[in-house]
Amino acid sequence: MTRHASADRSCGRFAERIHEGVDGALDAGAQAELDAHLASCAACRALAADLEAMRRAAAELPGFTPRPEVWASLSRRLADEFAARSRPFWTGARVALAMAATLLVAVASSVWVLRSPAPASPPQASAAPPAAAVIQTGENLVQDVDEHLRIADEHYVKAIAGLEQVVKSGEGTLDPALAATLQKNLGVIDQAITESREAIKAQPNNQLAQTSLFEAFRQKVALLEDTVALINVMRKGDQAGAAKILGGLSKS
Amino acid sequence: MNSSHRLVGILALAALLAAAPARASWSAADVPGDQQQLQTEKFSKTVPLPKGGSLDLSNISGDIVVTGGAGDQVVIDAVKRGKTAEELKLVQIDVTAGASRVEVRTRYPQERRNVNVSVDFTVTVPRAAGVIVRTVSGDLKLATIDGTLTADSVSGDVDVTSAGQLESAKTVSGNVTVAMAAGEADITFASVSGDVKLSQIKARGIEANSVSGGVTLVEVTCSRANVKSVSGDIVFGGPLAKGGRYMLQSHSGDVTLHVNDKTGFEVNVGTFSGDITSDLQIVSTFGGEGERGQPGRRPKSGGPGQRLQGTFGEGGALLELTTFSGDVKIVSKTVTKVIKK
Repeated sequence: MTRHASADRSCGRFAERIHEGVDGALDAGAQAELDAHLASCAACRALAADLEAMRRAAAELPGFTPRPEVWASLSRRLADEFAARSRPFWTGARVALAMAATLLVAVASSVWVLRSPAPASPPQASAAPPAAAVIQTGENLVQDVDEHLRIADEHYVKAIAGLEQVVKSGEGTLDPALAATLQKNLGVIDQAITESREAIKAQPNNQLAQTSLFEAFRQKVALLEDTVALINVMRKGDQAGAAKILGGLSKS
Repeated sequence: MNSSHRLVGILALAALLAAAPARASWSAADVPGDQQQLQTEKFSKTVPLPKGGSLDLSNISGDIVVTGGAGDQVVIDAVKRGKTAEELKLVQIDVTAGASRVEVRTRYPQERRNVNVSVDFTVTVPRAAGVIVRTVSGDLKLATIDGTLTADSVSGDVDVTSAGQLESAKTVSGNVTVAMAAGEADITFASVSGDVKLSQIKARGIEANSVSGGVTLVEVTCSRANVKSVSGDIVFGGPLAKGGRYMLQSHSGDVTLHVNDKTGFEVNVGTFSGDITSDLQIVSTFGGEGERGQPGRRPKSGGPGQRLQGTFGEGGALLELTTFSGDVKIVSKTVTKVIKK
């Protein structure tokens, strides 16, 4: 296990500031204070390096801003969905909508996870729908959904690649048995991804296969995040703290 | 908890522990396996804990047993195990008693690595005390604790019996088994590689997840359940609350719901390549055999894969049961079997 300098008492105070520093959001004074801390704390330097790697990966993602008419249409229909909660919530006509909404959240989550330096602001759901939305046909909505599926897939794949890179850089930090367990379970999720992809290839419009694929993506991102967090804790020599990260384990 | 906040929490704890450094070679494989060659050293300490107080115990390697009992004291018994008496002396057990909180930490020498010492704890606390227990490598057993309870391990089983205010029970590599527990809010149960087995749980909401293990909930009472596994089976049995929402989802495992016929529900069922069966007469609005889903029959597909949407009784609860390659079964009887530990 790589041993870095012992954790500084002020690490907790600097944790959030590291995020801000990586995002370039600190003023000169705060940045200088952070730099001074990083110069003396290998563990925080490692965290900053990991976050920087994730930021770079996020920066390579293609821009994604749903068209306003898509947001307006989705928000309107979701409002209807909520109001009609007593009705079945997974009718065929709503599947595409639910999928799209799920994927929008998923994409936002994956981008957020990587802390993109300049995340696109989602259009206000309450904004008056543009004229285009009024005349939007079901076919157009399906095309939008297909496009979101493709983009979300792309985002997840890149997000996972970025996280895997971070995990790879931390190889040897974790206990071998624990690392093997995590690797085995990542393999289980990979199998789910493969099966879902094959199903989508055979039946491109099958919503269950699509849902399954993105659920597997989401679970892989969550497990990789936990693995990265474990690596960071172990790097600090804070093994007892490793148990505390379980708050996010397999979180749905 | 999001990633950022989680990291902040980790670093905060790291800073806290930096003041009382803990360091060990914590792998279970590193702990000497030959019992005959083990050296042991006992530790005992009793400290007062007033009403409303809590115990916070963090360990690196070793099992922990915490039991709630009478009185207003925390009784800590520990056994250090290692290859040599010299190594045992390097590992300290720090007990800090505050006004309403008792902290217990194992402290390993910072200047020396690979100290192959584990510490097993047996602790008794006032039954109403809050308890937070964390270990990196070791099993956790907690019983008869009525205060708020959090139990986390990285490599080890987590076993909880009779907990009045359970908040979470989690492990990475190991099983989570909980019986007779209640929670004032949501309770989270999670394992990555092990099974999650829950029985007689009462809470507002339940989150239960595993990646490669199964998730079984028996006699569970909640108004919201979110249960997921990637490759394991999911079994849910318990009364359904009117207006409650229950989502059971697996990728390759079966999803089985055991319900009585007293509460109506609306259900959405989906499986890509498995079967759907129901003992209950579900009035189908999508999929199923014609307009009425027949018990035990494979419903007609509404498209690729199988889906069934319908209502039982007057509706009320909302159920979403999905699996990619497993079967979905709705069984009209309450699961009564006791989970064997």
